[in-house]
Amino acid sequence: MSSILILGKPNSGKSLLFNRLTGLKQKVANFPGATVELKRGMCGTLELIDFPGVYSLTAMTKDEEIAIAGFHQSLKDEKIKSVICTLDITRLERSLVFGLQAQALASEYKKPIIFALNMIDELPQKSELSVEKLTKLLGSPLYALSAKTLEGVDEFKKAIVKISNSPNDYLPQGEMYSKQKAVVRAREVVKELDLGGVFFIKNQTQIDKFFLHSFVGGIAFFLIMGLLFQSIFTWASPLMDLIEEVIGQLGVFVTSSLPAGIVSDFINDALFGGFGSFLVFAPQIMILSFIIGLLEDSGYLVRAALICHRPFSYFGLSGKSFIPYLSGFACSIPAMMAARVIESPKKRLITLITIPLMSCSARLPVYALFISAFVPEEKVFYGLLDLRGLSFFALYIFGLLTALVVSAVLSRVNKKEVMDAPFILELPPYRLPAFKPLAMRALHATKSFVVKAGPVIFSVTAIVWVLSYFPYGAGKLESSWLSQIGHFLSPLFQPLGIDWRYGVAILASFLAREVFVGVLGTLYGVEGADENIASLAQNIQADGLTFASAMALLVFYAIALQCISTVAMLKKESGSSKIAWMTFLGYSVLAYFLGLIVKISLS
Amino acid sequence: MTVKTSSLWDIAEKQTALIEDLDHSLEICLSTRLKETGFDFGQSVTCLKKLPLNGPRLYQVADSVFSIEKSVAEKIYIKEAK
Ligand SMILES: Nc1nc2c(ncn2[C@@H]2O[C@H](COP(=O)(O)OP(=O)(O)OP(=O)(O)O)[C@@H](O)[C@H]2O)c(=O)[nH]1
Ligand SMILES: [Mg+2]
Repeated sequence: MSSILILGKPNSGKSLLFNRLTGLKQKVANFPGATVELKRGMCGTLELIDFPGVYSLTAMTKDEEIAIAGFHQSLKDEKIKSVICTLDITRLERSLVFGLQAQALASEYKKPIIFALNMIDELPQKSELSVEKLTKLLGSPLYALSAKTLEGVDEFKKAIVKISNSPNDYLPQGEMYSKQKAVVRAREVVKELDLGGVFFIKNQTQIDKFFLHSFVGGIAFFLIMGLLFQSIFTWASPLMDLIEEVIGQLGVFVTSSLPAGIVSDFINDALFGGFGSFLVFAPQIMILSFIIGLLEDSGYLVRAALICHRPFSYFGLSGKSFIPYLSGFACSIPAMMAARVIESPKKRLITLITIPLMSCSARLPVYALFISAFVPEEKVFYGLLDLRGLSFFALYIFGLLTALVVSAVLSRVNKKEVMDAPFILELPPYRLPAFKPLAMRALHATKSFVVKAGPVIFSVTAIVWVLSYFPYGAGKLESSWLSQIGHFLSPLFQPLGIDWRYGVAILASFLAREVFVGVLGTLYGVEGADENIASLAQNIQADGLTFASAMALLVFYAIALQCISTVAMLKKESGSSKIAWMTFLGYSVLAYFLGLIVKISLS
Repeated sequence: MTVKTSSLWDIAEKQTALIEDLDHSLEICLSTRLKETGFDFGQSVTCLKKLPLNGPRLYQVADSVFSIEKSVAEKIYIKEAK
């Protein structure tokens, strides 16, 4: 099989082009450093390999070193027939510095390089661009295209096939410019081409005046973040009500058409009560992913990182920590990969350790459950804000503040002077986000969340159901096997003011926290015997859980690291299983004691 | 040794300056990267925006905008501030 590498400066559209050519859905986002791992895909019979973007072939960080070693390694490979290098026409000079270095490298390995002059849709007057002239100046095939509008992409596809079939006919011609020579040459080429490149950053500078303004910019930042969390609750609730209604009706319908007995009990309690309670929260996850996507795609994310840089520095973090933190609100696993944008090894490690404190979407069901059970549905501030939305916001802020405190402590404990890479960040242009791909991405994220969590939740709820149903059947929860286990453990949970059922749910959720709601749902289902399926929140209210205990539980869930996959990812990204398990243990203990403090002080 | 008094950090918003030199105490890989980013001898750089609390500032070099934090900008020396 023949393969082609896709290289280029960060944020030049490699991944979007890769997606267009292969039909895959590799992450595309408007900030440098979106791609952190190689991705392979097929374009006809050719294999394409999408690389993380780099600015130069001289590495500044460990990750760049790895990426660059990867280029060399791949270029040695016989299978690699050619190299695609994307050039961003709106940042031509910067793109060419890397482009020319890559060309010199390809030439060294006797491979052709094909330039993809991307983003021509952004060019104001297309006539000004002379592709022939640029091709001649560079001495390698060059195609103008737009991965966004697809202009020129078909032609490009044909060209890469043709070139990969007879690579030796397309080797780079003329003088090669490596290292610093590429910097000078890039300048010359752009000058000769005379595109008037400065035009492109005019707009972005205007918008930055607003979003980075000392006062207005700060307000905008808090408004945007506030809106993000408010919307998770407000926008999602109609959809959630709908799902709840449908599941409830379906439950009644299915169980009523079955003969009473163990099968009907199981379906009612474990399937509808347990798994169904979890499914209700899918819309929130979808909206969260959608809004995070909006922030990434518009270019605002980078501005937010800039705004956060100084404040975060006090806590031993980088402004870039904001990027993984934000994605940690959806899920810690991709967030830990996104932490690779942080050059400084020490700051990255601290960021990695604190990412699990961001309230990920698996915590949403737990938060939502207790908020809807204990916070009235009221408008505050003259009807502008929703009290429940605010409670959500408070929990997210609580997680973030805990992360900052933990970071500050860690960065002061670990004083070891390490060579720290400085903060340098390119500002991408602002772009109008494309609605459809974002919506697709949000749907996809929700689907994969449900699909991944589904089997776990289902198996755990099924086991819990069996333990709670036997030996005496429905309505005899207090004398079930599970109750015996629960009572054994209850001294541990008693100080928090919660009974053994919650204890069991907490324990089960150390596998994955979203299990909590499912387990509780199942337990109430078994207990309630043949009553109608009331909503879980109503059950909890009726059951007399105190406000103080509910708050203690929320604090516990906000901090505890109850996710096996996150521990595994932390181990992988930090390269140390000791760090991973210490983090797990540390957060469990912290969660328990903070919960205890909340319980005692509110009682 | 010549005394270098003004650095990139000293120029005001909207002001343009020419790069004279990079501090020799910078790590080689960092100064190489700065040059490749356009902060190279003789290049003109404009400060586009300052952020509060001495946050990283926005500098335009050729067709790109980069934000750079104080510790680095202070080590980029400029020749003339227009
Ligand atoms: N207008 C326009 N935008 C584009 C085009 N191609 C890509 N983009 C946008 O440019 C941004 C970066 O695209 P990516 O494909 O993620 O860039 P990349 O080179 O893979 O970036 P890294 O993985 O960070 O190195 C995204 O916001 C894309 O939507 C294009 O042809 N026209
Ligand atoms: Mg990419």
